[in-house]
Amino acid sequence: MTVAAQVDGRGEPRRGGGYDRPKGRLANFEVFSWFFMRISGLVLILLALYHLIWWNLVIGVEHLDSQVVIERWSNPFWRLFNVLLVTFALLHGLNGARYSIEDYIRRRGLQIAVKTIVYSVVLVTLVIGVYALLTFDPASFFAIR
Amino acid sequence: MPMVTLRIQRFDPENDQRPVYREYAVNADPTDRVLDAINSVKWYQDGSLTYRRSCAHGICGSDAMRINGANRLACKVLIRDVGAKVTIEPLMGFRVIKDLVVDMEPFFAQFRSVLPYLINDEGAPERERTQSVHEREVYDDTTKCILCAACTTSCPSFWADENFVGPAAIVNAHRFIFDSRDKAAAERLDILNDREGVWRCRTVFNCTEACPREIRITKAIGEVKKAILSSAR
Repeated sequence: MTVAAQVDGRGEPRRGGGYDRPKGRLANFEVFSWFFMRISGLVLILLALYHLIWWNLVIGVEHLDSQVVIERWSNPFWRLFNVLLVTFALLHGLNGARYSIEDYIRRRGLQIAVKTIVYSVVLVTLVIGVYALLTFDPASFFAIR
Repeated sequence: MPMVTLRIQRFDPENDQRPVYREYAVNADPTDRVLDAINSVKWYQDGSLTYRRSCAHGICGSDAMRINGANRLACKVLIRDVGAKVTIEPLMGFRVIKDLVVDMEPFFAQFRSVLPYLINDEGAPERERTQSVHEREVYDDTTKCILCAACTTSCPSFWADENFVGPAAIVNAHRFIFDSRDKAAAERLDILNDREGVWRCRTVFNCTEACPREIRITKAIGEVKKAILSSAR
């Protein structure tokens, strides 16, 4: 007896058993997303450790006031650092969520719906975060207050 | 001889709506194997108990089953290692045909899908195709697979998705992908470069723990992932 159940997301039956990759799928998307997870995970550990150790332990959380924030903000490297942190954190998390959604939600319609919601939330958060980091002017903000 | 209680999941497709557990008390030495205790039930208490076993020496891979919740070969586990009360169930993720016998055909279909045989269309050489010791070592570990399915049926990705090719098929693909005499590595890597191929693996390590041949399966899967990455660049 040979199992020949046609399943969503599978291609033609392959000689000797199993199935071909379905046509039209992004070539190598999975391999690069896997590689991205390794690299972004490593980068995130370094970024988060620096953030934690320098700002919370060396500078000290009790010394973090608006003056420190304004000084930090005037340094373009600090902004770039935070753009990297927010981008890698959100995309790394998004890809992990995609893995979980594909593992656990088997119904195709529901899977698309959940993915649409999660992708939208992450995308909007990412755009707002990066926009704020690049355009926010703390000096005038605190002067007004 | 001390008494051991076997709690065995039974299913008779002609009479049972769902599986039931039945308990059997048997005499077993601590150095007896779990298979000896199951044989004792079948031979002296209930001849209808159905299970697979062939060589009974850990090589044929027939008697993989869940013993106290872990996938083991009944012929390789001693009573002293599982205690006086043992729960025995069929492998998870397959249709149960009867008692401990499951339908292995989906497993073998996945195995066949990775082309688990030597492919080399070059003409036959004058002498045998030689291989250095180092070339052989690269895939030595994955030659040990006996297709018992203990790894695949311990894998949460396989439980969630029956289309996942599974660790056993990847191990057997690895055995030929890294064989210097084989010429179809690219084709196998293309088969496994799929959401239902190696990328469904989340490195849970259940397979490595379950393997009665102590194959470092997660490591082998990782090597296949790296090979796909370097061929995709």
